Amino acid sequence: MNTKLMLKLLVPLFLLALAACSAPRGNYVILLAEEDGSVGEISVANDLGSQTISSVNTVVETSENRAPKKPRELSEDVVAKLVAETEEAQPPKPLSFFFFFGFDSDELTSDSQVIFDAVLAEIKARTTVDISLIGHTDSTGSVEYNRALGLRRAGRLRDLLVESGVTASAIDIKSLGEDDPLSDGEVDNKKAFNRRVVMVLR
Amino acid sequence: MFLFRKFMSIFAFLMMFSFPLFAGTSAFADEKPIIAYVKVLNGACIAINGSVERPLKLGDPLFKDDILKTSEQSSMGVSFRDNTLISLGSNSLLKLENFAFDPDNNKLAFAVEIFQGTLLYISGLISKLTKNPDEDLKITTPAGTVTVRGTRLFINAE
Repeated sequence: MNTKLMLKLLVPLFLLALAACSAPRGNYVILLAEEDGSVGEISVANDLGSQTISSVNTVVETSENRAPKKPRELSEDVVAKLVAETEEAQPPKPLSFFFFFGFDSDELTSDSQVIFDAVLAEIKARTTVDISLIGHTDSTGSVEYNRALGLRRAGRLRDLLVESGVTASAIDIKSLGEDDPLSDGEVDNKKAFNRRVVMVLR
Repeated sequence: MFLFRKFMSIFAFLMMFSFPLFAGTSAFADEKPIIAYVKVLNGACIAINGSVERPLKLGDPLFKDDILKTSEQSSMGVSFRDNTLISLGSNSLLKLENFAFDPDNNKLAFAVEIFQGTLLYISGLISKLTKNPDEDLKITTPAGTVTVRGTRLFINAE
């Protein structure tokens, strides 16, 4: 009698525990931590409902023609196993380099010329190369003028790369003008940090 | 002299054909900006755009509306021009629905649709710069739409 009662209580408990650590099935989304450990937020929505998650290794499963299920947390082992094959094909993290320019100028500073030579060696060592160049300026001058100056700086760096043998179609140039300063200091020598082109090498 | 004239006429004939051909390829390049590149490739992967199928190689460019397909025991990694990184596991099918990275004109868009298989997504600059993540950043799956606020995530679709 006692054992029967025990079983009646234990079996559902056991099933519940099993469900908590079992791998998800069907359509699902798992929120993962980024390289630096930070965790963002995602929402899964369809016509029947939605779920928002913001904690690591949490899964939302959605069966066909059903609302997204209540989120549940998965163990790290289960997540690692599920993502292994796909994670292995993850592209390498893009590298960023900074090139600095003189006041109101699209000429590289002499220090940046040295960096350029080092970065060129890294570019030539890669099997696949695509590059973004984003030009920036300090806040002196109008917004429009600075957009154009940022683009001129990025264009100058592109020309130098093309002259050095990099395929022009693999280089994308943009300008953020004065919108994204590295330093908001009013001191002149700090403003120099803002006269730059950021190169992203992928 | 006769040979020279014959040569010239052949040359003129070739020019007639090569000009429209040249115009054709540059028009294609204008219409189809490169949005991403193949960075990792294992096994057999193809891109389908309309009725054209391209077997993919390392370093190949990818375009809007490309449907990426990985076979059995194949996988691939792709980097977008805003640093968004995605990878696909085996037997996956993913469409590059929309991509715009033009912060100068506040045009930002990232939209992919996964029909089957697995997708690992790591957000890039679009997710950092956008003011309307719900509109500008969409991953469509067979069971619903995933909206993303700057993160890394894994999707399985059946």
